[in-house]
Amino acid sequence: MSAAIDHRPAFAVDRQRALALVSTLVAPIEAKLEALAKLEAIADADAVLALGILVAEVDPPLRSAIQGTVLRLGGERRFIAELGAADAAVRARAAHALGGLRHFAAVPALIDRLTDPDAVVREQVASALIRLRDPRAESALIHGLRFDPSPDVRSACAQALGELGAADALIAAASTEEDPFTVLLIERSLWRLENRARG
Amino acid sequence: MVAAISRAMFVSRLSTGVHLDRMSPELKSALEDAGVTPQHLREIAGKDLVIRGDAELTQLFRKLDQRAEGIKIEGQVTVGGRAFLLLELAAKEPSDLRVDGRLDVAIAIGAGGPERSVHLDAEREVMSGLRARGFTPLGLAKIRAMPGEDRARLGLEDKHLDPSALHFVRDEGEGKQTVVRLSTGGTRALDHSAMVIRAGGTSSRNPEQPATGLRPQLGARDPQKVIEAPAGGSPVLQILDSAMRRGAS
Repeated sequence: MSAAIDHRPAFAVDRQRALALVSTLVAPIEAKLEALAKLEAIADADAVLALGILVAEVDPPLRSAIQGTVLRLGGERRFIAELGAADAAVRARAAHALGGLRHFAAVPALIDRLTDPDAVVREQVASALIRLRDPRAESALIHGLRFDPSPDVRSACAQALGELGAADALIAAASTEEDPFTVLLIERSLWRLENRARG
Repeated sequence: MVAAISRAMFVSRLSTGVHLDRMSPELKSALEDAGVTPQHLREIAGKDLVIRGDAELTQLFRKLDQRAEGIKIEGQVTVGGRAFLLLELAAKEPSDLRVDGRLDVAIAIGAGGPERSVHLDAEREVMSGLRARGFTPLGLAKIRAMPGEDRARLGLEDKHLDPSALHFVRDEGEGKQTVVRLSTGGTRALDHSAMVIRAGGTSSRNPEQPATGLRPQLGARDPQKVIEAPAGGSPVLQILDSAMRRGAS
């Protein structure tokens, strides 16, 4: 399938309609899937970008379909490359999309970005790792929880460690964390772990 | 953005009414931008200066729909652009819910929704927003260690406490407080709140459907005080800001 962008007006209108339909709250799932198929046929790079953002926001039935479309259009390669972009907003967007896509091959690149100079990027990376739940990220997340200067990043690291079941790391951090909101989220992660253990 | 809203949905979402004398500047300005003048509003509202009930809200909807710039999707009347924005603003206008100086707000994230990681993001985003707005988190141990009169003043006595929720308080000055209960699972925190902001549940993802998972659990509570928000922390915080502004007036 060609990934070339078709700029003919009719295709642009179709693309806009399909994207609006995929993201609208009231369209039936069948209409959304049909719209996705049209987007895939157009193979539009802009559509891949929008779907990469959308994939992290939707529920599983539609998410699986969007994941398939984005992967078939080569979106994951684009987002991994964009993790190294000069613009922090592009890096944050790429991390968000890779989390939504549950693309495990991106985990090493995401771990590298946990030390990004921009706090928003680091939070988006930790958020992506919440979704991926990959044990390879545990030590980097522990480091982020203990030493990251941003409480929002530390909070996201705590949630990701909770998803990994890293109770010991959370308990250790709770005793040294100074931000009361982050402490609350650490306790919340431990509470969820206890509930999960109780079944 | 193009979005669809039916007349029935519009009337349902504005069931608390649009109070002309307590309308926020944002809504007033959005209505005027959409061509609905204060004179139009007074004509629809009548002597009580409140647009409420099916007939009056339908008149307002038709006034807006005449200026709609949207398209037809599956036979629904639709509006787009600024008109939709002002519907959103109007739907977020709560009445004055502060009782004895205290505004109790419950935020329910993801009740009934299947996607946990989205809720974790929303939970973190809401907490970050509360931090930026000067709220103080109150852990259960801290609440239980408070003097009885302080707990009563904040409505955090044992009978009103949900151990599964997170609690936050902000002192507004002049004896006023805002108490926020953040719940990502149970519904007990919702029982004692004047306003419930429900985000990311099945209903908010499909606004034409009633919030069947939540409303029966609210018991005798007035469902008019339940506000459905899209998934994510930002919409929740916008509604909270609006409620606190209204509560302060």
